[in-house]
Amino acid sequence: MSGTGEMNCDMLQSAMKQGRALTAAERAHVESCDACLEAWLNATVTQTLDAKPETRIPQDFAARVVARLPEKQVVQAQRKRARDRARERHWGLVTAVALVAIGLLAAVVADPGMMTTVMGVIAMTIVAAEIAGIGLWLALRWQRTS
Amino acid sequence: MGAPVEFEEVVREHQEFVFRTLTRLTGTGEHVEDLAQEVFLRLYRGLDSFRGEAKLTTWLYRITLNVAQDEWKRRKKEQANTSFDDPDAGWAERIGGREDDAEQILSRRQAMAAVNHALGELSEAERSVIVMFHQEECTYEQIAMVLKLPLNTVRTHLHRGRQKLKERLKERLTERRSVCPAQAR
Repeated sequence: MSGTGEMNCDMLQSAMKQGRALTAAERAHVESCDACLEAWLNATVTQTLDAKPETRIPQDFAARVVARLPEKQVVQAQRKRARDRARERHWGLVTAVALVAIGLLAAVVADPGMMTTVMGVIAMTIVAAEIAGIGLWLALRWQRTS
Repeated sequence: MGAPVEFEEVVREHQEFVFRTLTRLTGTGEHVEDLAQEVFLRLYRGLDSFRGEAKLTTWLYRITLNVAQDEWKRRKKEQANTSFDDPDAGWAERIGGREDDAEQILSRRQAMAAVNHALGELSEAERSVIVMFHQEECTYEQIAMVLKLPLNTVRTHLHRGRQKLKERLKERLTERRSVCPAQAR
């Protein structure tokens, strides 16, 4: 047992750890005893920090938060993806359109007799297939975005 | 979880600890509700990037601490005359008039007020670690994950933070005794 005067330091320190309120005499002792002061500081800091502060949460807090939620993010993401798709460069399509244009131009300027040759028929078939391909691609794209 | 109804459930489930932590870190007042709303709005905005690698609570802790830190920065910027910005503001009212003596500083309520006040003088990291460890009863590992700090750093912040709180409390006691030498023993 260590103590100052009549005070039992061990018992006092144990009481402080348990959170018991100090009497006036005990408080006076704590001020004059380094070991008890250290124990008091430790106990006070721990008990204060362990205590959970009281909170006042409005009944409708959750509803209020939900009312402030931004526009649904899925919709926003879909719109962004659609915008990105519209801005994409489709080099395959551009090439096909260019080939169709060249084919049609060639058909116009070429000798009419050419159309009856094997090469002419093959060329026109390729142009027709390209037109059909472009039409199909546009139809699928339209279906996907609408 | 993106549906408003489901999100309302999430808010209800976690609002208690969000309010509690914000109250401890930024003090009581009307601002706590605004800050709590900001926490949940940030959570909602970030839901797309949440892949469930960490627990939702861990993520929510992180957001709550960030919002509290932003509030501190805002207050510092505005140099608002709050009790946290000025270590002496509000202290006199808490301690009382000149009739108070050192014994009364030892009284439980005032000592707790002094600790809470001193908490506001710690660094952001120390404050966050202390609140998570003591108030929210988080483990070192959980704190390390939330704050993205090494385990030993968490331990150091906790130890240093507690030491500082004790020192401040002791200083207050000594200051009070020197202000009223007649009442000192």
